[in-house]
Amino acid sequence: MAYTVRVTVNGVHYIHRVEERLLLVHFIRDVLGLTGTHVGCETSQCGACTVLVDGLAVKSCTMFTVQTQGSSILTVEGLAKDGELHPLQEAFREEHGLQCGFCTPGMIMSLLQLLARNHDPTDDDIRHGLAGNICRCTGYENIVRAARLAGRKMRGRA
Amino acid sequence: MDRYIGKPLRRFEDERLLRGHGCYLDDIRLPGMLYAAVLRSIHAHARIRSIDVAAASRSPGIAAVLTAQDILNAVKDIPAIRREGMEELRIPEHPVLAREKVFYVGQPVAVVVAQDRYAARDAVDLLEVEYESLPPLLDPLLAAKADTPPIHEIAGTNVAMRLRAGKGNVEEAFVQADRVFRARYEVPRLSAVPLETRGVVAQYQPEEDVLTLWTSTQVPHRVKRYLAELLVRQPKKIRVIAPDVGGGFGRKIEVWPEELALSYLAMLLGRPIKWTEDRMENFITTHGRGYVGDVEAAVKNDGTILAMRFRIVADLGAYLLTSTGGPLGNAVHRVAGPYAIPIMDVECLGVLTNKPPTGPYRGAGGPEAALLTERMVDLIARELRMDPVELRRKNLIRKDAFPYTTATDLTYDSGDFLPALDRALELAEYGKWRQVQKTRGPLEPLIGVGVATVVKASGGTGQTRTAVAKVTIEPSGQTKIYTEVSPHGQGSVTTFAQIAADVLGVSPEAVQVLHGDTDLLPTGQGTTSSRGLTVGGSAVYVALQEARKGVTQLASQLLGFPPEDVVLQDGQAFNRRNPEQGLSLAEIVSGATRLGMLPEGTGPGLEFNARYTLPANPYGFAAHMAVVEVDRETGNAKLLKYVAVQDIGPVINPMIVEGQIHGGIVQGIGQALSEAMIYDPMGQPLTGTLMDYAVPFAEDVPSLIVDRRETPSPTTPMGVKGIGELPTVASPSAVANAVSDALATLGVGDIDIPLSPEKVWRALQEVPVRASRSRVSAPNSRQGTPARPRRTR
Amino acid sequence: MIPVAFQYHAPTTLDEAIAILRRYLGEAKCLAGGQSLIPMMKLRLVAPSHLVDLRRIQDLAHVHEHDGGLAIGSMMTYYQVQTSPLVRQRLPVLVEATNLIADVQVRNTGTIGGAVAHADPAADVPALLLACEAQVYTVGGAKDRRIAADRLFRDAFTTALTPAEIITEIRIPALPPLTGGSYQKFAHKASHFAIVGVAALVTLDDRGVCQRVRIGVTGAGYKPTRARAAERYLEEKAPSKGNIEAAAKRALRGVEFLDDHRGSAEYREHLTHVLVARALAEAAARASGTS
Repeated sequence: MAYTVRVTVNGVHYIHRVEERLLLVHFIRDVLGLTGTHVGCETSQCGACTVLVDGLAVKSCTMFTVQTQGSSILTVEGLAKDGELHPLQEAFREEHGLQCGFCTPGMIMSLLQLLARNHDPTDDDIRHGLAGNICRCTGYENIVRAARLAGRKMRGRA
Repeated sequence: MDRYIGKPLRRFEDERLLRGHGCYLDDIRLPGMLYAAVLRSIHAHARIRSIDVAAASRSPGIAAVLTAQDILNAVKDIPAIRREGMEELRIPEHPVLAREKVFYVGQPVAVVVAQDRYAARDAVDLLEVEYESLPPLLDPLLAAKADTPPIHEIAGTNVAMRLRAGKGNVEEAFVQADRVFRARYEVPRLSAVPLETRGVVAQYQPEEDVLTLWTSTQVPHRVKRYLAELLVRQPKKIRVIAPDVGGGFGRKIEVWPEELALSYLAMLLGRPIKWTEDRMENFITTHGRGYVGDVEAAVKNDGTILAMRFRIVADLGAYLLTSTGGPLGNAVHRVAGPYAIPIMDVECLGVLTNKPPTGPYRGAGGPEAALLTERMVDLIARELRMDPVELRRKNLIRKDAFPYTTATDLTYDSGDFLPALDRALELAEYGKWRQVQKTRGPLEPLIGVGVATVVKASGGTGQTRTAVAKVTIEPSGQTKIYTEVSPHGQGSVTTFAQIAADVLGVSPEAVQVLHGDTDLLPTGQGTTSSRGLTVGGSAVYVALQEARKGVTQLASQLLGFPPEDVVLQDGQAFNRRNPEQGLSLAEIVSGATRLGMLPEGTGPGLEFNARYTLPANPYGFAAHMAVVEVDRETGNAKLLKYVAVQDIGPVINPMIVEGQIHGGIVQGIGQALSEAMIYDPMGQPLTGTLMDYAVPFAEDVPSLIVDRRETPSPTTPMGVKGIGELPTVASPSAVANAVSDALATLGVGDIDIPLSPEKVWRALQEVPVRASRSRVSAPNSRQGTPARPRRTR
Repeated sequence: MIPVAFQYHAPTTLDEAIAILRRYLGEAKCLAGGQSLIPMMKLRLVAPSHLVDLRRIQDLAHVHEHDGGLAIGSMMTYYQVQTSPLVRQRLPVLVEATNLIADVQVRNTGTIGGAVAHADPAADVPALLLACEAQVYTVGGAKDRRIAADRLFRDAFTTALTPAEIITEIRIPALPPLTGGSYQKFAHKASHFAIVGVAALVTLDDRGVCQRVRIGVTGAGYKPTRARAAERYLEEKAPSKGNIEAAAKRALRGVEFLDDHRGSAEYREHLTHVLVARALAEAAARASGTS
């Protein structure tokens, strides 16, 4: 059993024959070699696998690759432009929003969604927006700060 | 001159990780790599009648199926590290794959290897194991009884460890006391939940006969040592590498069956093999904590604690792995806490049950001990109608008493506890919250204010107090630090670069810090026991001082002015009297090489080695305060405020230190309010995924208020103290005490953690009854057994 | 965690989807958002041989007015429901409830029809649909039909749908004037599913007396359930604190409560009473315009 998928990931077009049960996260990691997207919980709580599919943050461990036929996918590797870190990435470094770094790509992708929908979120908005992401290192404090800072940076640039 | 030490430098670790360019275990891909999956016991206790591998072996893409029979003479069992309290006992060793019996749900029974992870997973379902179910032993108190049949016949008993500590005449103190208090507290088993699970890649290169193992570990050298011993290979033919590690929190300080099985298979098949643990496996293969403690205190009416007695039973699980005994050996001493309690009597039993092996989890005996002591201190305050802060103030060790040796034989190097406690009160607006609490109406949510004061050692015991380090300066002038610690989020790379920058007068960006590879240094104890900076960092500091001396000497010789005039700054060594006269590090190295000034057999660069032993552990102190609001109808406890003040040594990077504190607090909040491994009566885990095991989310915790005071340690060369575990020792107690404080306003006594809404609600149902049946004995009476808190299930 | 292999189908029409479901009757399952189904497949609790993805079928993701009420396409994601101006205007309580479902990522993907068909006893949407007396429209059964929400849910993960039946639309009748709604959820701290969730709609007459009361409860028992005795008790009465408390005590009498490590039967029963009271109080206050 195999299925031909055509997707765009970080602006690059791919055509692959994949097993139908192949989870999107394994396609991204094992087939495309983009290992910034991580697998943490596998039951859709931790959000380490979060990517954007057609602009929507989704948990790539809870989606089959075949479901993304024709879609455009953005992973953490696609954020930096011309080598420059995205404001969210900068803000995470600036505010020490990461320690082991394993949850970080998923956190950033979720916050990218949050800031796209709400340019000036309150701390409560940020915390509610992270209901699908677990961090075990930072106690969330500096992630919230990083989200606030990124919001300011992005508003400044807009 | 401190240009970088003490500054919140942004981490050098971050950029790769932020770009998604980290390399965690599962990110490793080698040509021709195969994938492994593990079949685990579905029974807590059973005899294995047969294992039929035929169908699995015929499954598409299968390369191998491994059972205990295949490795009988090739791979030895994993032994426990012998520790205090285990001297006379025959401890069962953990087989890599189960033989006649299985002893916990999750115990490895077989390994399959296939061309990809999907095929490997499918083949696991095709393995057929016939079990004969045996009754499981799950209750540690039952296991501690002499007449309970041993789960391992070879051990002859379920009591695997017996430890004692204490000093003074306890009986007499209890007779003389004005009041005596008793309580039993449970500290349930927890999962550490590193966001990255465990994983292994094993590769064998037959042409060199070298086995390379990448493993998501905190202790690569320990893994190497045991691979050599248990696979009977020469250590020099083994290399262990810790790649980026996505959190460990103590539960990656271990030698695992999967590391041995994968190593064996890689050598057998001649191809690299990867195994990545899934989350459910992570939940059922190892835990931290798991204590029950009976606590008694003999107290004067003015709140002075005269003596304490502890009887602790720790549920160690079915086997002792290398680190299993560690936390209990800590807890037996750490129950003394930050208090000047002259008389203590502590007994700890470590017992075997049909559950997975435990081991250190952030705090390693510290949070367990603190929960027993700190909750008892609050109980004493409540019963004496004293403010819990005042009671602590009365009993805390005074500044002039250091070094202070506890009745449990720990020596605290330094500290200044009261100002830290005062600062916490101020930041928490303690008085204001006490007022709010009093003015709450009968229909409003309850308010509770909790405090915890704790100490935590950094450095560890025995071998972990010794570290090696190497500093090299290459002909290019590049400075490299080789450290034996194996950081995984602690920011050691940045911290050590900051130290190097100040000692050698270079920019921190120019310093490369190398770690996590057994080929870098001959020995190592990894990142454990809050030793990263205090032991590993001190070794680096000593090596850097050697380097500073060496570079100064060479510069002095090369330029012809006295060493005392040499200034190291901006990557140069120059003459303080004539700043025009100077050389770069590269020029010093090349000059020294050219002129034959380097010791025989060395070069072309400079190399400085250090072996450092921490003479005594430095102790940090923490005063934490939590304010909670308890919904009387649902039992839900919500944190409104959290304040943490640490009394620690000087800090190298305050941003990193603060981050460690934040994370430690929130792990402890989870322990107090929601986390626990729950087993059913047959020993089946009910909290085996993150759908059931509740770690804190961002919405569950308030913004954290953190501050710090400085008391340098006399035991470390830079005066530093460790910070990684200290906050996790304090926060479970602070939060538990806050909830108890709220319930006490209605006369409800202590209940056990985690203080889940249902448990709190149940306790609230008993308000009228509980008011007259608190967990306290009559004044100075020793009759009766400790009242047991009600179980919800 | 890796699911058992299956064959994937991505029909573009309902007829095609029904044909596939009929061809593999009992072996095929519809894939809507997959946010509940895929984790269960990964845990190998379910292992369908065929998955029929409904995403490519035109016009299952719509929302429009119907007879003054709402017609919501079954493939509307929670996020689409949440952000629909029409839903916000007609049934703001649905927006509030949807915002409490799981998390952003799940709401971006999970669908309202999927939630109904999956019938997780702890899902949020069914409670709302019961309180709203929603009608569920299906095709692919013996005949195209509509099923009242309270006849749809049979047991945990069990509905009245036949194996080849597909939900196309959910219709929510117009609410009478002076109606207020509330959704009260007590979530499990790990899964964020409801331990108990209560949706209430209260319609007042011009004297401020409860004319019509509708209560849907999820999480408490093996299926989402209307709290009819509580509804009847409060109707024709003023929404006073005393009356609301008395009504809440009548909620789900005789129902078999779920009893597991996430919440004992006793606790769920208690929470049901607490949350019914809270939901009724808020709904009544909203109906009277005081909140």
